[in-house]
Amino acid sequence: MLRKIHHVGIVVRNLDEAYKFYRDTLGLHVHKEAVVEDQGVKAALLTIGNSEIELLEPINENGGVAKFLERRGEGLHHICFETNDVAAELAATKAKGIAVIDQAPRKGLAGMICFLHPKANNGVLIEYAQPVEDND
Amino acid sequence: MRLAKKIDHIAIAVKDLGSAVQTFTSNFGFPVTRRSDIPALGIALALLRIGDAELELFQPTATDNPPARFLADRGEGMYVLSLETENLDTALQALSAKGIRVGQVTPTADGKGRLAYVSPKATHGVLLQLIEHAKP
Repeated sequence: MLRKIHHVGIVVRNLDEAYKFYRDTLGLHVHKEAVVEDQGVKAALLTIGNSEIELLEPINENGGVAKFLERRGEGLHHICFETNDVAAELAATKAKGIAVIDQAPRKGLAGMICFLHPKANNGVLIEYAQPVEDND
Repeated sequence: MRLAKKIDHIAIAVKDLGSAVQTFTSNFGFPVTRRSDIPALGIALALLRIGDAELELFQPTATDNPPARFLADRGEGMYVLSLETENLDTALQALSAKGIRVGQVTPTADGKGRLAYVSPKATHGVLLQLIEHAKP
């Protein structure tokens, strides 16, 4: 079951510049920051209520986020829904014939994650995340 | 000071509201909480609840308003991130004091709250709305 918005992803050119607005001006707490190599990003999660805002800065020219930035510029990138069982949720999604990007869950900043294809959801890139404990 | 306390909603521009509602309810199981035609804004919308936030699917019903131009230029996808604020006037004053441009305060579609937009230059390309709901 998809129980809430885990986060909204925003692509930015430079994470430190984006902090000036989202952290310093809006006053949101940076809960986590890490490099996610296989997505080609430096990413941060900032807490807002029961959800988070994820800022994504590309760290190489090849990843999907870098291509998004080049094509569309900075801005809203994806929505992530939280689930307590990402494998079951992904399996149910595939069984409905909904196009997905990830055939199996993988590790991301928000926990175990997977992406659905935007063409299946009116141009919106959707992610599912099953959070893991913050002990890494 | 924290200027935003939670994600209120995410607005998604779609070409056909009926089929988009069908897609999102069938793909994710989110309940539709409201449907409205808002001629004053030139849109028809449906709200889908997810946790303590909502997805707003909207279809432009005019051809010359910003939502229609967004749809024509960029295609379907995420358009607005709306964050709830405790006190809109305080938040807008704090933004203005930092030299950030904000738009006019207008009533919400249900007439019970107030909202304003923040310049996408400050938000790194995000059309960010701050919304204050009427206190119960």
